[in-house]
Amino acid sequence: MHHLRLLILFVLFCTHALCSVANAEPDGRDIAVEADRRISGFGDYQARILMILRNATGQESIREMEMSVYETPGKGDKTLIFFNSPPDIRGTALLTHTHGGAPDDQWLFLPSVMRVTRIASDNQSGPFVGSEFAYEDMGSTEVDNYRYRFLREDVVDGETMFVIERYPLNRASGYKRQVVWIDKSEYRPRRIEYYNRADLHFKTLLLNDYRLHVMRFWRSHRMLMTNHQTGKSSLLSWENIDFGVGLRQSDFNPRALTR
Amino acid sequence: MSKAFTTLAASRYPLSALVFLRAMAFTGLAMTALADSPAAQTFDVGGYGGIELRFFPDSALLAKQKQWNPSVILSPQYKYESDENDYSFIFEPFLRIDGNDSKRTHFDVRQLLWSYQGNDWLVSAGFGKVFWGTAESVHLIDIVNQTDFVEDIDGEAKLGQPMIRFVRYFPRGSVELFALVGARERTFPSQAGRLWLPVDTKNMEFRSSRTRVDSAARVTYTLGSLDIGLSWFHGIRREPAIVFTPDSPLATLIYDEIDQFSVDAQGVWSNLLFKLEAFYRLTAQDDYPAVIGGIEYLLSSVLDTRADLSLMLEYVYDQRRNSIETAFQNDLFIGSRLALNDYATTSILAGIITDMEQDSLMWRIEASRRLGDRWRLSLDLQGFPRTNQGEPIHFWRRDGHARIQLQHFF
Repeated sequence: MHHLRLLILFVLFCTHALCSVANAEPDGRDIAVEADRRISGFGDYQARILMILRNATGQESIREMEMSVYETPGKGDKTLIFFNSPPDIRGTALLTHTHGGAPDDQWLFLPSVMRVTRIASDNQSGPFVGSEFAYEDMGSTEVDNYRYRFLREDVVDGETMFVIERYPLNRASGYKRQVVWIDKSEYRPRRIEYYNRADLHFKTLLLNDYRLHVMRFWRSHRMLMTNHQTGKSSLLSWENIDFGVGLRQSDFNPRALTR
Repeated sequence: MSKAFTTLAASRYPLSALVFLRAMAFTGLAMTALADSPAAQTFDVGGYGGIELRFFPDSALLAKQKQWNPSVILSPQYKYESDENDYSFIFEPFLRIDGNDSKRTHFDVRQLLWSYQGNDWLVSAGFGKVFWGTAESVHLIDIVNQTDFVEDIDGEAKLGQPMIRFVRYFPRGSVELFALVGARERTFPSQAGRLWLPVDTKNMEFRSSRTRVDSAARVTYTLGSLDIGLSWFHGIRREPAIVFTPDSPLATLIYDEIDQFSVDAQGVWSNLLFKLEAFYRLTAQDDYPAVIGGIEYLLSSVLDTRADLSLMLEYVYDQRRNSIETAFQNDLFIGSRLALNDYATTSILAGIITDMEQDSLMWRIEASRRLGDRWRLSLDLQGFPRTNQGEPIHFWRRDGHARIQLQHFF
């Protein structure tokens, strides 16, 4: 009996090994790693963002933010968002320290009382400031937060795209899976379809207006998230992105929010 | 001499209004001059103006107190930041004109602060606003700024504090040193205002020079998902000692020198937040500890909606001997906050505080939402359904009220 089991295992192992060698199909994770590699190494950047929220009847509301991102090599990004409008929340700030694999550390600063409070990290699926973007959509996506599967290659508007599927490993995520279209030419994500826990495709993100910065980094300046269930949409319009600003690490210290 | 001194001490205004207006005009001129200079920098005008109406359904304990209390508030904010993001300036005056209570009508400089920021350090000078603490119900260790108690009894409105502040940032924390110039007395309503307390605000004992320099220091450290702070304060107490003497129905307020050592912590684990504040206070009358601990549980996207519901539980214990000085000696707070996560940032906060020994109860509901882009409407309800003789809140047993406020943001 023991020998039979070993034999079966051996055969299975050989089959798997042969399949891997014979299969020229790209690995989903490898694509994600390459896409991430292409946008890494920037050091820091600062951007002014306009977020336009539109409800099902076409009414629009605008929020203005300033985002600063600091890349800690090997450790995960630190993101600081200051809200400029609407005026009653002007000066409110959201600070995030991401850790690939581990939950993010997040703090909220309220200028009226000069108070810095921690936010529960399991709020990732909640809407970011009333928009159709969830907190987990806003944070820099760490490769290690997902499990990947390559689906196929697609041609969209004459461009070849990799289509990969990714499953969030964080159980607090609001999504069961996401399908990501990444263009083959520059490994830029162009379209993401979000599937909720009931495996229903309910949100789509379109990333357009890619511009090359400091001759190296492609950045989407127009991100449109549409919620198919509610008919609402949120547009993130990146007005300008400045790389290599020389941000200080102390700017991302939670205590520094009070200055 | 001492009478003149106490009259000065009793003044609500940190500077005379005339000096103030001059300072405002100078700042305005300076900003215009800077605006013409070639280097790019950012000016920001913010803040708000608003109207408030409080309604007290029960008739008051004192005859001259009214049931309807209207007031007008003006609190603009002027900010300047240099292009290199190293020099900055903020000016935030505050004015409330109250329809009933001349002591609730008051003017203050909340902030008038020049700052310079280096690579890993910051220095600021002027009137500043500093908050220490992590709890929701009682802000136990928040001692740098004096409480503007006539604004609201929750202790969240603060008077500006003249200071020189130095901060050194480290990768995991910071060290702060403060020189606090002068101490301010707490604001209280007059006998014409509701939520009145029988304290003598005209003849308080201010056992110090007005220009004394108090000191404070704070060390913060972040360890994973835990933020810890250790603080020390030496100077004139912000919470006055309250002493009743047989010859007066009003209590004497004593502001004297104290030392306070405190620790605070906040941590997060999954959707639980942990909060702790504790101090050990050394005063001429008594040495005592106090502590508040709490948890907050977040139910995000509750009932499949976009709303977040937080449930809070806090317990506060204070060992001071003079129980008339604080309402929170052995109290439990149960609260919840509902954030709709809609564009209007609608939120509703409800809480009750109950005294475990005295079996008294006070409750509060705060709701607010944005109207359009620049307006905010707030509604607060507060009640004191059960109070006992000997407790400070017993004086508020007829002061349950509703408050509606409409703010316009500039």
